[in-house]
Amino acid sequence: MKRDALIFSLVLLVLTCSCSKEYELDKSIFIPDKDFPGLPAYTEWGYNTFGLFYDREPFVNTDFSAPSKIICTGGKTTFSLKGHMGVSRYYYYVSDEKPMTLSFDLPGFVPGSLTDLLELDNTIIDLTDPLCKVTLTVDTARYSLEVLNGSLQFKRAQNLIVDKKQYEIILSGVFDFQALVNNEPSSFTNGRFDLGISRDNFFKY
Amino acid sequence: MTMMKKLFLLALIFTAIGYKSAGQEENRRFLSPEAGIDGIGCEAPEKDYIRAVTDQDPADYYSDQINSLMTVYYAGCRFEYRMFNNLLGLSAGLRFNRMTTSIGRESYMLSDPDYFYVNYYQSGQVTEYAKVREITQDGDYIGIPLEVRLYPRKEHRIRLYYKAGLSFNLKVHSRSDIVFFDSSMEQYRADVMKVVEKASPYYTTFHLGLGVKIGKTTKPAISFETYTPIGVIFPKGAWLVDPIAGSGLQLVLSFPLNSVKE
Repeated sequence: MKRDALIFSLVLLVLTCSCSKEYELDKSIFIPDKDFPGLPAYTEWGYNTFGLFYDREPFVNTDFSAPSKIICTGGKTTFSLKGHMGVSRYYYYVSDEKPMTLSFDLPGFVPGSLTDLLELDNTIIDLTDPLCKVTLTVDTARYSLEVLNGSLQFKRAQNLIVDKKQYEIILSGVFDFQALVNNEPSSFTNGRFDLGISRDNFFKY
Repeated sequence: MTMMKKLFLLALIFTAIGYKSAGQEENRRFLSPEAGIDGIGCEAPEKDYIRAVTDQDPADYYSDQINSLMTVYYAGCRFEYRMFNNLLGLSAGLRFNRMTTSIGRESYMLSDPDYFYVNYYQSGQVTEYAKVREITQDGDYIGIPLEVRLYPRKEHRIRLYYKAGLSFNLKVHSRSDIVFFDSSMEQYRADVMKVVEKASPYYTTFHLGLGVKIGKTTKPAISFETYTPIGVIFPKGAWLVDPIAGSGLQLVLSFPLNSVKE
């Protein structure tokens, strides 16, 4: 009996030690912005966070799902940010969070592989470009935005090597724009993102 | 005036007071070998080269965080002059200090990894992290401790006393080490160590304490001292750890050198 308990404990130890290690860089790490505590600070570490004010209300990533996806299909590349609105981050039991997704088409950019995302380094995309379609999904409602002004800037694209093995591409940047959402003028301000893109959130088909 | 000169002057004043009082009443001089250990709490490291491991939510932060530790072991010898009927003792000496500082990850959860990421290379669009379990630094310092002891009780086999002191410590040698998660990274040790700060060239400590001395004044005696808080001051600059305050324990042997009655 004692031997079984010891073997069980050892197996449990090995499992618990080995399971989480692969996900360390996939976690979201929220470092609050000093000026706007509801948003993550602008970082370039691949903290898997993003945030912006949508009509002055914070829209940030959630802790438990991939905050972004890059989807290349049909000769088009879409960069999407998935999170929620509301500031109930630490108090889920009083949560009135609304799931939201903001997506940008990246005109003229069709990566052949994950590492081609490095071409986005120091790139500014004019969101008023008719080829740059911006969509917003709130709960189940989906809106195509008519962007009035603003831009999306990929300030930095980094090829992250961990212990001499290629791990992911880190995309960090900022954005700010005004748009008509269901014909209502709305602002999307102080946007920032710091995202790790790897095989689990980069899709090409 | 440099810090070293100030301390030298202070040591001279201590000694002069001791000699001046020697002509007035019974005084005793002691040679006291001593050894001790100080544990110093440090700020959690916020470094440009270390990737955070948790949110800054307090619940997350305290259950899994990157910590700094600082321990100082020392041994030395000092002279003590007693005056005012052995009520006050002034001492100065020389110490060898080994300061061990480290940065590691501490977690309450077994499932959390015991390593953190060090960003040791950035060039163009390539960024390299190394998974590191611990960074340690041993610094050897020669120190000059200056202390005042107040013995409120008259002669007794067991005497309680109070002390206050400061110590200036100058680095003579240091070495840094790193423990990688993946031992194959050993060959890149020099590259990774380039981003780690050097040991401070000097530091100053000050403390308040309490001691108990066992043995008669005229005979060899043993003392146990505890002191808290200990303040540690590093010079301006970036060092491996950022000390806050700590506590220490000291063992002292006292050998009376003479007993003069004038």
